Amino acid sequence: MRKILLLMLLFGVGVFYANSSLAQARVISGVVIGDDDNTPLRDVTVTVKGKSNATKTNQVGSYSITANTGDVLVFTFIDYTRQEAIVGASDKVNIRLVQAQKQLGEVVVTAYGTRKSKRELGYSAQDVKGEEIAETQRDNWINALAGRVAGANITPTSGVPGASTSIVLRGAVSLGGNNQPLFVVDGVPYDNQTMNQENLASGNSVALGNRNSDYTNRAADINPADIESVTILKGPEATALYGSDGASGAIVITTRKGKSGKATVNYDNSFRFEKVYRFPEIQQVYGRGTAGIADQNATVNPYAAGAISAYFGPKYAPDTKFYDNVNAFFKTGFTQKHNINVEGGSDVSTYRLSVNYANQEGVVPMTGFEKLSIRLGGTAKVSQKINISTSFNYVNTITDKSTKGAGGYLLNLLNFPSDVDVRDYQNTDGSRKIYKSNASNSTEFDNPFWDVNKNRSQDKLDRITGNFTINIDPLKWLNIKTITGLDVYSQTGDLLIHPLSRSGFSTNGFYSVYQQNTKNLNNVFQVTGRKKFGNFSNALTLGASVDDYKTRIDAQRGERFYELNFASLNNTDPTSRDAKTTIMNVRKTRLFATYSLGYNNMVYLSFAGNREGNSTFMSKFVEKNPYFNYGAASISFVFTELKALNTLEWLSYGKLRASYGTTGKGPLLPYVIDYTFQSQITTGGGYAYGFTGNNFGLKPEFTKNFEFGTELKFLKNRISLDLTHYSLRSKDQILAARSSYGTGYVIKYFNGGLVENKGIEATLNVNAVKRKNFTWDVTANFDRNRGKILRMPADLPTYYDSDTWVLGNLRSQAYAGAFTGNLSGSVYLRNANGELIINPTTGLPASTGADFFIVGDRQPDFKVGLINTFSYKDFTLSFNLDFRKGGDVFNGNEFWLYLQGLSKRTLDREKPVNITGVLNDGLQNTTNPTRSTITIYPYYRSDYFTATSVTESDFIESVNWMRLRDATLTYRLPKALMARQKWIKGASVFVTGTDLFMITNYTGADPSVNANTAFARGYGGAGIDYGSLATPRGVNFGCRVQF
Amino acid sequence: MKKIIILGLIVMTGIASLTGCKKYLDINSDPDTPQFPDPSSVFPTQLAAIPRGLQFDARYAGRYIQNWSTGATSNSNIDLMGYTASSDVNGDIWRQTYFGLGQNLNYIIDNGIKNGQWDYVGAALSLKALMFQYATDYHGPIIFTDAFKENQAFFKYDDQEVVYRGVDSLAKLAITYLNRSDYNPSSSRLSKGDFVYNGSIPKWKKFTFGLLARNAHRITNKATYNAQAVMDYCDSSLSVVDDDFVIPFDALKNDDANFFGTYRNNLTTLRQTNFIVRLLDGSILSGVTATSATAFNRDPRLKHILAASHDTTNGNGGFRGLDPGVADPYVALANWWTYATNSTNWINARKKVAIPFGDTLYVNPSSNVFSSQFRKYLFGDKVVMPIMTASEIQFMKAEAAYKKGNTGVALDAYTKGINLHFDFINRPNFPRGNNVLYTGNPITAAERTAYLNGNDVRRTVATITLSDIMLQKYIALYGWGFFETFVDMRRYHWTADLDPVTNNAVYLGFTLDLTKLAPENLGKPVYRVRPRFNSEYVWNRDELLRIGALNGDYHTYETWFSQP
Repeated sequence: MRKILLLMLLFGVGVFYANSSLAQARVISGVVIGDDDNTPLRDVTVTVKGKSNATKTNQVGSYSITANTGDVLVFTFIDYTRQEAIVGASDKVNIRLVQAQKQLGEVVVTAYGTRKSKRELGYSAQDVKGEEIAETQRDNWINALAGRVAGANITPTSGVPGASTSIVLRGAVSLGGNNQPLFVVDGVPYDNQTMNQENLASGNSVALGNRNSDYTNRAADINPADIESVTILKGPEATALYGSDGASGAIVITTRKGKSGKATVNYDNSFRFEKVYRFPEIQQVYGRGTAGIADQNATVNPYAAGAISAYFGPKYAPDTKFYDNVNAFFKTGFTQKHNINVEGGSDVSTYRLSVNYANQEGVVPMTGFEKLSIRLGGTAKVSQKINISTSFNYVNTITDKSTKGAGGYLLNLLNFPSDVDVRDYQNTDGSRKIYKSNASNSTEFDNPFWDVNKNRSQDKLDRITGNFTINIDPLKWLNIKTITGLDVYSQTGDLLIHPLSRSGFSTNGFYSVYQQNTKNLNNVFQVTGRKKFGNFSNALTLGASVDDYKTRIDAQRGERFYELNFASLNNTDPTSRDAKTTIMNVRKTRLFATYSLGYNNMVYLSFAGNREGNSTFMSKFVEKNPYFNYGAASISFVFTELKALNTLEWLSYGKLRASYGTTGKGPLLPYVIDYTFQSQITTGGGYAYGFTGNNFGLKPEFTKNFEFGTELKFLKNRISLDLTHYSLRSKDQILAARSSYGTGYVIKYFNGGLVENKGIEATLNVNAVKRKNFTWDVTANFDRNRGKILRMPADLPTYYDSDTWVLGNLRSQAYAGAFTGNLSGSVYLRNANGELIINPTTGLPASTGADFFIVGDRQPDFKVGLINTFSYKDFTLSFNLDFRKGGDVFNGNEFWLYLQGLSKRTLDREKPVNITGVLNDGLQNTTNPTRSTITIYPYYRSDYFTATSVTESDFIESVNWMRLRDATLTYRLPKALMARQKWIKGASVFVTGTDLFMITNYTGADPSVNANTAFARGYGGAGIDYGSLATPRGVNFGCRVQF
Repeated sequence: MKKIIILGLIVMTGIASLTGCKKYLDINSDPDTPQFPDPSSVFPTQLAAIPRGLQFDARYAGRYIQNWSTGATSNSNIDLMGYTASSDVNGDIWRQTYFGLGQNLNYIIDNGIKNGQWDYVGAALSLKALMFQYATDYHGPIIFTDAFKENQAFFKYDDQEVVYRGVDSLAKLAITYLNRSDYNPSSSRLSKGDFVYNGSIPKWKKFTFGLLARNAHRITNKATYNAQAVMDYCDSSLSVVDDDFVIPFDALKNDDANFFGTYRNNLTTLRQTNFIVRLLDGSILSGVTATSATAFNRDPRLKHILAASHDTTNGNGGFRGLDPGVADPYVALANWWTYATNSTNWINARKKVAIPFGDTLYVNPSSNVFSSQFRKYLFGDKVVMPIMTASEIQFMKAEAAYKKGNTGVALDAYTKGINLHFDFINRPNFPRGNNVLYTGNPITAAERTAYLNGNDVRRTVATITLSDIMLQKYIALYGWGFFETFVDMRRYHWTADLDPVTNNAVYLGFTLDLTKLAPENLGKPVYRVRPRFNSEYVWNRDELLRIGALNGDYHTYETWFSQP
């Protein structure tokens, strides 16, 4: 807290100091704007001809320099035509720089706010404008990146408010580690944790395996309206810039800064209605019963997870009254969002204040999300040579949640009998209504209404982030920069299982609370020298960074409620209370150097080297070296600079690039080098090893990446193409894997293995029509990634992620030779010829049960994002179509429905079946096996629909889709109209639709959901569709006004 | 200008020195949980970890040896000496040997040696011997010499003979350490953390001699069997009930309550068998089927160990049992009082076999609620789980002496064994305030005398048989010594080995129909248990292939110890 005050003080002083400097002598100042898009240009060199004075423009394009009347100011900037201006009577010299022909100089933000000309980059980096993201009106802005970034795999967990979203660039590399990129805001890492349920104090009958509840991934706290631009660094080059945290790429966010000039006020709002419209389908032909015999109490218990109603009875009577339970349950969600920002400033200082408020009622009753974000940022020019900028962001969110997965409202709603009214969920005395006459509170699953109304769960967040940047330019060629960042938040939450609920009944209620406190401090210091010798430009950066990450989670739980409906630990039996504290402290230090050499704006070579110290490798008991090295080298060759190609009309720009980079990664969690004891609550208490065994010998996971690509622009930049091919190999994977208990542990940390990822990415931009009143732009993003496991760590036979094992025998599992997106499950037993083996007494095939086989690969063959933008006069229409070809999804909902007779696949049950195969009579593997001639009448044989005669592999679908991710129509109120009054400068109205439709071969609801949460190890629960709500369809409308 | 450069240099040097400083990074220790606890903090968890493996697996081994049978369904595979494939059923001794205790005991031993805590080292070695003995007796060949190797994911199995020698060495080494007296005065002693013996070295030594006795005694069928050594070990071992190694429970929450108690509710469908009923109602030991007229043959321990049904007309006071593989014929009936008085259902419902928690209970009356009322013998929330008793030691001695031909010693030990089991039931107090084991009042001296002078007990060297010793041992170990009994029965090859005197099966009255075993048994009784599924069948398959454990009838392969 003291540190925050100090920073605020510094900020205040800076602003005042900047203001006082106004009174100085003749200083010429102004703003440099790019002619192409009217944005201020930063780092434009301003010199006084014939003198040694020089300066650079700041973030908002303003500069100031001492000069006399008659002096000539020279403005030079890479890719722009040099321009001169004579100093006259005015103290202001504003300049518009025009882009040099064929030198379209896109600038990308790389490390710590360093802007680099895109032509210098030897690796691929893609930009998305903040405006474009904000325009999609997504609750979780990361979802807006789907289709907009080649190589990004975005998986929302579900369609309820506050749902987490995971993002993986280019494909999962770490089998058991974190594969999500680092988020960086204005040079400061931004924490993107998703609460790991394992840190909660576990309950007797409540599984906490990151599957029954979701927690927002914390990068969603960023207000998209504050984002100026997002640069996505996909490969391990990001590590060369940000250290091992960037080993899976980096999402580099630059926030909006105030623009100098008269203060402006912008206000926009959005009102959103959303409706979930994709559900797993159920049959309503056959009612409850078994083997064709009606029985309202009939149940099945797939995988012994609890008895659910069985629908193997006779057909419903023709006069049966059906209830539309699904529609009765879900409602129309409504969100309102308001953004207001005020910005302005002088040549020496700018400020920007933005306030964002959002309030969402979800499509699931009792769910909601509320968010308040206040951001204050400012820049100040302290002196000729010193610029400071700083910003603070306060975010407060409240998420009202519902359960997901097994036992959650969605699955229970599907299983709920169509001839019973789901709304009737409680008795007059407030107790739970049971619809089966032979069931009890502990045997019948909760009515979904009961679940969402009684099993309450909520998360609250208070978060402050801030950064303080000082830029010093002591010499014309020298820049010194420090960035100090702070990210502090406190998250609290609870989870209640009502005493009358199925899973709360045996323990008479379950209540769990947690408080997470995270405090991350980052500091980076770098010195950059740039000097040009003849045709050679040189830039050398030396830097050091120190990062300190602290997270503490205190969790408590209690059981046996005194009062049925009171949510508090005090309401639980004291002897049932338990507590658990998890502390994760990690420190990283890093020395880095980058050097780039440019020749004639044509060839650029760059080198980066890092030496990182990572506390997660330290030990108290053995000698460990926490330091490791990695680096990168790249080349960029703008071949259109060659004389021979310089004059080509059709080719405006051409570049070839190649880069090689290495990265190191520490373990996902600290404290795994030394003994891993855990407190025990058995008689006498004390400590014993936890499930997971340490490994004194762990070394960093090491990845090398080679990529090459090209950037081409044709027909006066009307068409541009960016192509990348990469191949990446990761060895010495750090993996907490199950193995033989001979290790002394259930799970043990191992090092080793080899994983390969290969892929291509392409981005095509076409400016198809460019007329005065009408323009049409198309952007297409294409990617394909193949991740393969070449060798397993410690040559383990297999590794699986137990969190993903949510239904039956299906889970995310790794083998040597398998793809990284592998799914394993049971298959049918077959003889040597591949024929089904049939049980001679039942006539049914047999499943391999708990022996796991490869059944699918979740990696898509390729994905395409297609963004079209039309503008006609004051109308703009843009839409983002997302295509995916291939990639397996486990339709767990359908499998689950099949086992209870609700799947439409069970409808042909009255047709006799003869399963082709050979009898399991001892002859099955001979040349003369006995063919099965057993006829089965599934209608009378409920065992036909059990897990032994159907396998998970039957519910794996290779999914193609085309989804309209978002579409926005904006109408800008005509200038003529605006001119009639003074106080509104501009206004527009818009309509945005999200997820309006999807065309897919997928038979389930939504293939883009996650069985777990964005806290995922390895490939995670993406592609496992079980108990998660589909993304709803939403329509937003609102207006933007500028004062 | 200069100032700026100087400032910059200072900042840079500051950060650089931080980055160069290893000390700054030295925070990789869990502030929440000690990563280097004193052995005294680890030891209690090790004691508490022993019952977990034994009681979990007792639900299965207890059915092989007919302590229990399933009342709810007929032909349950385990009741028929089969196994559950692709499952961790029966894998908890394995789990505890390596995970629950193994590596933790290594930690105590290593650090105890460093700290001069010889009592901890000795006790931990002793527990290591205990667990490996259990594991090899249960599974046959197991990971022993290869166990716990760092950076290794595959492990070689050792033959049982090797493990036996290893257990013997561990136990002897334990005694060496327990004999040391040069303690580091600043280190904590075993009394802190040992809630079984309160750090009593003499008791730990007696317990360890008991382990040596078990280890030496198991090879009765081999020519190398040394009965005298066993008797000597027994003489150095537990001698009074106060020496008994029993693990108490606090029963305040799930994890510290007895697995066999009502709260944790793990005996759901398990019911007493006819075998134990007939042993205790006198039918087997007196040779006369129990009737109300022969009530004098009833063992006074019967009502303290077993649970009676409402219908008491069956001749032994209402104690009913099940035969293996046959469900309770009346299991589907509701409570008797819901039927018309004296109707067939009313009569039959009163004949259901009672649940072990108490007389005239047919379902767990107190699931998830702690109760000191609903308990019987060892089946309660807050009653001990014995690991070794003085009574057991005497029966071991009796058998060894009998084999040696020293029937006088055998008779004496046999009689002591029975008496010590009476003492065990009558024991007035247990560690940590655990409940007594008797129901109502202790067994009176008169009852005891009557029994010892009755038809169930032999009193002369001429009449005592091997069968008497083994059947009394079976009674004394009922409800806790599952694995010891499993060893004993395998040593006598279930019903195959005959008593040389009576020419009946040593385990007289034990039901075994080889034609009605689980299909995978191929007509052979169980002789070992498959290694834990989610350890070995998934992760160490090559080794299983080598030893034949992938074969469907692997569990019927006779282990080394019982072979000649």
